Amino acid sequence: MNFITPLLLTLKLSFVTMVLLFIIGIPLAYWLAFSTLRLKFIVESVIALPLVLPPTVLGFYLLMAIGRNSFIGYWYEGIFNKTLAFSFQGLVVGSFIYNLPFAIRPFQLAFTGVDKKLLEASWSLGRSKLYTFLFIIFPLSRQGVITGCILSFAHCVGEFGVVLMIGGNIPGITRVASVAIYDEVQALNYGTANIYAAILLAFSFVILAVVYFINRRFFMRMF
Amino acid sequence: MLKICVEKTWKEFKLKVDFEIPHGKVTALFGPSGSGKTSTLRFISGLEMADGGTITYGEELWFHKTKRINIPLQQRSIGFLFQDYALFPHMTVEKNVAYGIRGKERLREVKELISLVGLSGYERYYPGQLSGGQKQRIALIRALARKPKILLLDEPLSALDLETRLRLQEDLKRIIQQFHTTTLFVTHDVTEIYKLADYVIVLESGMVVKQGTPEEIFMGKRLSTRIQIAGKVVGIESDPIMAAVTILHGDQYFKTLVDTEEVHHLNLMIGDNVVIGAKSSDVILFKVLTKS
Repeated sequence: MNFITPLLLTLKLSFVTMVLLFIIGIPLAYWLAFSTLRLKFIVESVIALPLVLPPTVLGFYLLMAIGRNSFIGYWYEGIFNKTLAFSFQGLVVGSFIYNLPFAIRPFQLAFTGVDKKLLEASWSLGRSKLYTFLFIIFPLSRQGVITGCILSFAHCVGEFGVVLMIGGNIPGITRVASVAIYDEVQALNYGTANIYAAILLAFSFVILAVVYFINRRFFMRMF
Repeated sequence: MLKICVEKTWKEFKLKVDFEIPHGKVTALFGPSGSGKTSTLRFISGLEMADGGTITYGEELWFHKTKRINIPLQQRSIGFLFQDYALFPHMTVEKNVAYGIRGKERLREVKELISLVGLSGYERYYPGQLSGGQKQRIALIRALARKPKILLLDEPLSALDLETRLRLQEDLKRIIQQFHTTTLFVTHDVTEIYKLADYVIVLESGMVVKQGTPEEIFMGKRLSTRIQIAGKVVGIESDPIMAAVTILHGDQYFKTLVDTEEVHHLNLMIGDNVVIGAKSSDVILFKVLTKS
């Protein structure tokens, strides 16, 4: 098998997950930031679950939920004529859920951090909530949004348990870099495993350095 | 004509106000802190909702609890000036002023408005680069740019130092007159009322206790005088017959002689708000009456 394929697959999975988290996470975070609903804490807890659950638990339930015998799995197979589990699409679903808190939390914190007076000023100038979000809240939350995207991307690169549970180890389809390392070690190919590991280590370090750098500049401008 | 008759109960405070704001005039909402001034302003603007009552502007019904009407603030024609200005920090002065204006002419309008407050040349500056007084003026024209029917000002000058405040009182007066906008401003400064307001509504513990012209409110039924200067007592030196009272008005001190008996009668103390009234011959000192 090609050495580079798992790495490319990892990047593809992380990128698709990040884009989906951005598209769905922004409105969700907005709702969490500004809703006055009392039961909001339940939604917040559900989103935060992947932070504390063993990835195998999450993976197990996801497998049950999207497997052949489940409603979703059955329905998906009916439309696309293939299973959702053990496919790239299934991995995306799992990664999306597993990475929700890493995107939503920074988004939400950034949105609530915008001075309420500025929102009131915008409304009092005749602008709708959507306009206010697009031109006031979002630009002022830039750092938080970028941080959320980068963190979810990086965390997705480092994901192992969920991927293995619902994706298995199919070369070119679900065999991402982290799984490849495990596989190489099982086969006693320590050299190859070492290269994968070193690449992931360097990558993770660079990503975190970027996040801290962005936030350092952010704080410097604030004070 | 704006009519407001609303009530709201918080844990330890009840607000129940009922008054009208005269059209085309500048009205001051005066009272100690915690008397409900800012909340009243927020009800009118629609930023907050009262428990019950009505708010009407001319024929328009803005809020009617029992009819379940609550026009969103975007559709109430108001301009709101916040105490700390609430300028958008990521937008230039120009963009801030243009924010509420729609239509093709907006850039030309913005230029005119900025020059109106003497800040031409600052179009590309960010709010963080402006002084307090400059921010205040930009926030004022931003609120007026939409040509609102009612301008609401929440302690517009309280965050500024004395010198800037005095200069801005003049600017504020000139700009409000130029726009002919019905204005309601919250203040606890008597000097400001004398400078700006045609009409005063006094709030205390969530209720309107008095309303009228500044003279009617602060001088009771006494004779009107030629000159009136509002200020604060900063010194009283009394002997058995006469007392010398030092009054601070803006950055000027006035010293005036008063009967010692009068000082006792008024229970005049350092820190009191007073009005000096003078005709061609005699000088009279009035203590500002805020209690009903």
